[in-house]
Amino acid sequence: MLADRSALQQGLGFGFRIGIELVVAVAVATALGWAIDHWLGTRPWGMIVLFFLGVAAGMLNVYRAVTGISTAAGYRRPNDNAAAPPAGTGWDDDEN
Amino acid sequence: MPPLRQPAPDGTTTRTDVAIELRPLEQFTIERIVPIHIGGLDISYTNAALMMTIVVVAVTVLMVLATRKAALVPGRWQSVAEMSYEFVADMIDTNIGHGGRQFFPFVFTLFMFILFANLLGMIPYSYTTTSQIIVTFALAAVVFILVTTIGIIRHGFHFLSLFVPHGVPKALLLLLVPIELLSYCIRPFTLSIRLFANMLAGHTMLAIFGGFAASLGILGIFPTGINFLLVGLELLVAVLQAYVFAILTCLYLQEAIHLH
Repeated sequence: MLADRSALQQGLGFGFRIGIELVVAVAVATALGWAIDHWLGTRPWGMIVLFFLGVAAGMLNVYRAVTGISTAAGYRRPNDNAAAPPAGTGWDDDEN
Repeated sequence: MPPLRQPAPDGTTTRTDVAIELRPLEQFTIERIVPIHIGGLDISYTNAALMMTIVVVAVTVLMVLATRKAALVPGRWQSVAEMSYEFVADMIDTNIGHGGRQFFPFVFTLFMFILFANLLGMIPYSYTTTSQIIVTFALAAVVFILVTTIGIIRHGFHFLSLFVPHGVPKALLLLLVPIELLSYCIRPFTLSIRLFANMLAGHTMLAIFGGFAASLGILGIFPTGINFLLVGLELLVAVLQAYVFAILTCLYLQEAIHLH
């Protein structure tokens, strides 16, 4: 029962965490692009480029949150330096 | 906002005309309690500041009173204090690992402040400070600056390797480094907007259904029922958001301490 509850808690916390990640990344990046355009007079290129970068960054954040922050692609593994992140979620993986 | 329905021309009002105007956002108004203006800067003591003071005092009183006479068999209040202590300590151990305990005071303060701000905001006619984006953004900015500073102090120039994904062809780095940099810089925004949006949406929803309940007469029992359930949900969200904020702080600290 106790284990059930803490698992539920973690799951809920997780859901609340990643829900907003994608939206905010795109919104903030696009706003930043707009500001850069406004500043440098490069409309509309800054906004377009940063929109796509924002989408990528948002997806990257969600992907990393889902796969576990230290096991996702692009992250160095402590013992094997090859790519191919193993499945499983463990933030404390790199402690062993 | 104009009244929902104008009174009839002859001045008589039917039952629904006296209904409460729906103003679900009125609860977030900031009012100056003690106006202070220094050099054109408005640093008045507002109702939001008052609520934050209450939160800080409440947390301090709880922790001081609970640990004043530390009994071997804890009483009610001591249990609460010990549970929250263990909860945060456990979170730090699993998420930061070794070298994490020195950040315990920071994470614990952050967690308790947000938790109490969220929960005390649930009391009717009080004020939810975490529904103000500037408050949550200030908290998130503190986390962001602290994490970045610690990373630079601990690793110096090597900290920048955070933005260079490992095992990627050189040509792709041109594209990936900006993405990594962006995903790092977006953190204070996601951190603050998540907390702020959840609290704002929840309290607005409660106020809207409360307005329905007041204006529907006998049928108001249905929105009241929904509100009854929503309060439960909001209590859950209040605790969860504090938890999420604290755990993300831990994860960011872990990254800055151990790199990856």
